[in-house]
Amino acid sequence: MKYAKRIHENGIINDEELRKINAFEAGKLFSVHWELRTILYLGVLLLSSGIGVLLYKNIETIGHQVIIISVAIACFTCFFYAFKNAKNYSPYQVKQVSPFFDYIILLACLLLVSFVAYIQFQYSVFGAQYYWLATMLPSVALLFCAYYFDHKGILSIAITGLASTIGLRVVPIQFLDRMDFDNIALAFTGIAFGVLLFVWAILSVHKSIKKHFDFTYHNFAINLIMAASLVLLFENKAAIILMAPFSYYYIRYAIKSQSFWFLLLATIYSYIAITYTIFSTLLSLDNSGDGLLTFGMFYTIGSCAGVILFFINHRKILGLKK
Amino acid sequence: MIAYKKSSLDKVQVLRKAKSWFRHRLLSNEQFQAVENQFANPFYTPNIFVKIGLFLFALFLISSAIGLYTITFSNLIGNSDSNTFFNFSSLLFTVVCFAILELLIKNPDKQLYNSGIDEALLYLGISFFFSALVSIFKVFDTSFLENVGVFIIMCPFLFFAAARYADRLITIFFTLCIYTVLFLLILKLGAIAKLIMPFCFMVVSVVIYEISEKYKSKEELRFWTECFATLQSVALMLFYLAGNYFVIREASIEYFGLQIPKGGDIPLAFFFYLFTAVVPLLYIFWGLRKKQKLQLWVGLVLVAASILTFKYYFSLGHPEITLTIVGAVMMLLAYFSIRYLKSPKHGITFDEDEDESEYLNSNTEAIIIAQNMSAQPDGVDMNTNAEGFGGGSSGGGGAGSSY
Repeated sequence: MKYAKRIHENGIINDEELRKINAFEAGKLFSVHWELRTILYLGVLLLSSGIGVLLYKNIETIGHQVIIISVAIACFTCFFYAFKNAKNYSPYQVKQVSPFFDYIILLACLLLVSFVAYIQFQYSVFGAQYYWLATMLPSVALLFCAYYFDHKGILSIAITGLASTIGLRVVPIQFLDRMDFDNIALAFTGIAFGVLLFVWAILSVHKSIKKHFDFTYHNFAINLIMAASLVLLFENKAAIILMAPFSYYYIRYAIKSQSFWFLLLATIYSYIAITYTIFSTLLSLDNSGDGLLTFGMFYTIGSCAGVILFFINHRKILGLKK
Repeated sequence: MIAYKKSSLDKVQVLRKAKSWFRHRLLSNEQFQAVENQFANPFYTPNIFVKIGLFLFALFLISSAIGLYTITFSNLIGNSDSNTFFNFSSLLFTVVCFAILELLIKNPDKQLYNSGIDEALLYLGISFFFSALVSIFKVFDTSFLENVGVFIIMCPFLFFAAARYADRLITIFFTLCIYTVLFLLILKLGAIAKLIMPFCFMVVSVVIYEISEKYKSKEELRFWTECFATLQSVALMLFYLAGNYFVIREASIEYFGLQIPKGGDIPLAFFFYLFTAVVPLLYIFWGLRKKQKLQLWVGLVLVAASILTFKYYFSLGHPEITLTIVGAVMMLLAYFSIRYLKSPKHGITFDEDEDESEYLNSNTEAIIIAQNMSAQPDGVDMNTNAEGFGGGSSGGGGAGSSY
């Protein structure tokens, strides 16, 4: 309230407006919106993972058919509710009426994944040959739900599922330390899938089909493309050419859309790539390694200072004025 | 006392408030423009992700500077006096870090404030000082219990750092440092220690809470409001932990050599069970009653701690059933609360607070969902022949840690 007095003293607001602002501050309601939503969301996650493990652990017991039937019924009920109460599909952002809607459809999708996984595990419905259908079919269904009900969380799960169908495991942040690619073919698959997502993200903004999904798509795309390119880079230094245009694009994109998450990712990936390239080149030229340690220290000091300056002055450096 | 320019800190707050008033149409377009002009933010405070980047690269930079310093000078000095060299270097780097920090804050072109760089320098400076103390007092050669001196020396230093840079993390360390000193001093009392320890902790927590409460809303201490709130959160948590059944039981065994016979229990067991169960709920009630997020959030986190405590001693060996039940209870609880709050009751509402929502947009939610969900298909392990699958093996590891 003292801050309102400050702008009153500066003559920006008059007595009447000061009184109004003070009344507004005093009469503010206490919002527990995010607290309750977090509890609801954690509840959905705990419940669905509990049921997932419950199914898995009870496969040999008599009760498992009861459990699987109840999961099927629960899943069906949630979907029934969702389809009955959903607003019509629109290519723009849709806000569902009920605050519970997003969580019910999320629960439905999570139960569906568990259910399909269970019937594949127990009855091998897709056979040994087409086992991958057990991940692909629910993922496609989830992709449909993500668009139909306008749900970014389900979209992320669907992309993860699709990626694991083609033999990849995509997790946004853990990517670097898990480094799941074990061969070149997988790295190329990863890049191909990443580029596909990248192109789709640009197209969907261009054609106005769920524009607001582009963050999710780009997030998967940048991590896939960059991490897979790094794997290629460790095999062959020429792969740095592959990373350069994407780094440049994402740094521009980050500033344009004020999404500095991408600025951070692009910078870190590029820094690793450039540093690796410089040092592996130097090592191949002279493998005594004596002067390299001292050079390494100087290099790190210089390059880190460079990156810090880049972060602080990125607008000026890229010629963007805002 | 505070390193940052006070008038600038005030401007940041006025601007933040004005944004909220502008959103609620309490300020006209022209008025908001006028505020933006007169209270222009002079600080360099970047976006959170840029901040993380600056923090990381500042850490790399300083570490390699230290590397360079070490390989240059350690050769000159030789191995004869490596201990003195280490102590001297640590203290030197403490001074250097704080000197650079002060220079950067006072730099008129770009005054750093919460920029990642200033935090990096502050935390490193304190770490160097601490490692110098550890080395001088030969902490690793003696037992933890005899090192009360190190923590007593750290206390005023941490207090000074927390106050001068109004930093919340340092405030947490300062508070924990006080508690550590308290713990070690009480331990010296001998046999009586185990009887009074929990109650001393509770009393000190109440004192810290009350002092913070008294100074929190003082006009002239407004730059430290968040530090006081941090002190209060830590005090609330420690008050609970001082009476938590798990903590009491394990600490009694660890530090006081308590032997619990089979079928027996710790003294006053019932009191501590009750305390563990009731205190988090009281915090939540208190938070809702007084409309304080602080108590509410601490209470919510501690409910989880209490559930884990009871689970630890009364487990039936079926974590999946617990997960399912807890999940269902949470969903029902949230469902009925939201229904109940359809129209605001007792000044509490389910409507969004726009100022708060600014921080938490749906993108963060999407990342969190993908993060958590990756383990889900693995937990069930959907494919009968996992070998043909790209990440089957690593997926199992991911699931293992989450259950």
